[in-house]
Amino acid sequence: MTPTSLDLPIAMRVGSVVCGTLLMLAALRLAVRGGRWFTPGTLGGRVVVNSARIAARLTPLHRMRDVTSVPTRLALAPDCWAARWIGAGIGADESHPPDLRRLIAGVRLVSAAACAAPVALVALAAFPAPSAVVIAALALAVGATLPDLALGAAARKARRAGVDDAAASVDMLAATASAGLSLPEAMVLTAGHAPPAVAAALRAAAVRRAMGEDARTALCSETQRYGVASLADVAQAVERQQRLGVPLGPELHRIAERVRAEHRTAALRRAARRGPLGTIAVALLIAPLCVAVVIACLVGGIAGGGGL
Amino acid sequence: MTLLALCCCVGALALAARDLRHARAATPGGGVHALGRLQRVAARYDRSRPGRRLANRLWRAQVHMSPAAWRFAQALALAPLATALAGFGMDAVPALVSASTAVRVVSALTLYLRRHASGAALDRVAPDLARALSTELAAWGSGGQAVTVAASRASAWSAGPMASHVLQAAAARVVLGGDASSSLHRAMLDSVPRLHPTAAAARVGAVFALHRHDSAATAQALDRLAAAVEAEAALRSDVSVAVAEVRMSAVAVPLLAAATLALLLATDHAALIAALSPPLLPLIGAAVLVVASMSIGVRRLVST
Repeated sequence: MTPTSLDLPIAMRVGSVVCGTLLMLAALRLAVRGGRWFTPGTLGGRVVVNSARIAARLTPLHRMRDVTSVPTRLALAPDCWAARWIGAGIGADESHPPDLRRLIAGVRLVSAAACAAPVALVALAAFPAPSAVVIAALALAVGATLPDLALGAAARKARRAGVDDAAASVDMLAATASAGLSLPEAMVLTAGHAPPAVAAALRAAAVRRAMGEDARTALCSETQRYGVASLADVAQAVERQQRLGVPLGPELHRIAERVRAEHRTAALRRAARRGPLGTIAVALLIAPLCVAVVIACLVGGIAGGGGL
Repeated sequence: MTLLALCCCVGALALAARDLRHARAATPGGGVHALGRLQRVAARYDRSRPGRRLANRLWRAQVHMSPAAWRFAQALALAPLATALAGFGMDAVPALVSASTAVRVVSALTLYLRRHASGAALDRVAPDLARALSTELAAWGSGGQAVTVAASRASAWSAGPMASHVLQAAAARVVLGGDASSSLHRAMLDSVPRLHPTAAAARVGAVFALHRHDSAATAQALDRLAAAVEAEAALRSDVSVAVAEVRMSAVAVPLLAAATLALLLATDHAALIAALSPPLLPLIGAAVLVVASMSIGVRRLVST
């Protein structure tokens, strides 16, 4: 036995390596897929509210764009972990209406503390004090930025999903309009079965329409806000219906067909572009790495057996 | 010798079960006593709380077996595994316990991995549901008539267990005086408890609810929705076909390398020692992580 090898039996070592690899793969899968594996309850909400009180005095935790960006991002990505923590804070907060700027600052503080505490402990144990302080400060900064990064990424993903699924929503809007429902009713009903981006745009437009704003203006501005370009065509169809009396249902069906055709073309083009890209990644990265591992084991075996 | 004895026991049990089944099939009165008792036990387990919980999990995974049959299948899988373990020199009780644990873990994992199968099955039959409902609405039938007629015709057009289940449940509620659209919605939620509102079946339910306003327009909308859902499925299929080769190679290349590595380590003891010792062990671990993440990345790249 070589001096570097462990004293465990071979079967135990093989088993531990296999189990460790499987656990790492499971963790990787969890990290890639995400998912609602943790939901903050009432206690989490109280933590956020109390942190928000502390964060109210800490200027670096506040951003200028929070007033506009946070409500939009929360509407687009309600399942994101940062949005769930803010939701828990809204549930525990007694102020009405809830102050989203204050709550997001509280979530930033919680995230910064959660990131910095373990990193600081490890850094204090492993490095001298000045280096540990610098590392902890960096972890604090990264932790404070994490909620914004997560919300931003989830909002971008929701916008993309909204663009992809817009045809189905326009079809649903056409069905409700053809059945004789009024436009605000049709928009609210459709929003219940639409992806978050389209649902948020339709609900906001319905509210503005109910408050007396012109339907076209409301739909256009909400479309821009939530990044669902195909709803702009719906706004024009609504305007034509109001001006010329053109039936809304067939117009919306035509828009849905056009959006669906555009989506089909884009999806096929994307697949045709990404297929060769994937082949290149497999041929230039995955396959050489696999071969390298096999060769390394072979050489290690020959060297260990005294062959070299 | 132990292996031989256990093999004989398992074989005898299998032969006895087959003979019992054949005897029952040949003479309806014969063998009923033992089988009837077994069936009563199975039925009692199916009605029990754990049985109903398992039935829900089986339905969500779209495994069309009764809970008792599932447990019996587990027992059938357990026997050869325990025999094999005993054959490798393990004592009888540890072999049974280990095999039981393995079978239960594998079956629980299977059900967990297939937990979204009922939602996928409902989405697959959504176009058929939409067309079945629209037929009656187009002929100026009411919502209740549309649901009951679709339920009665579900077996005729071989809709599959999911469509039949949903339509039968909705029809039962309608017959008891429920509103057609609410009944259909409740039946869908009973079949798939976590049905997402943007799922195709949920959209069918929402469009069907419009029949209270305009039956003819709703029938047309349901037909259009069925065509749209089929077009979406066709697009997904086309994209999947276009990138199938890359998806397979992203998995096949690492698996082939892993198989080669396993063969090498199984035959070369020095290579195994070297692979499980530093500095090769951390390098292999890092390489496995990188390859796995790149493989997942490539699959995600071509899937989105």
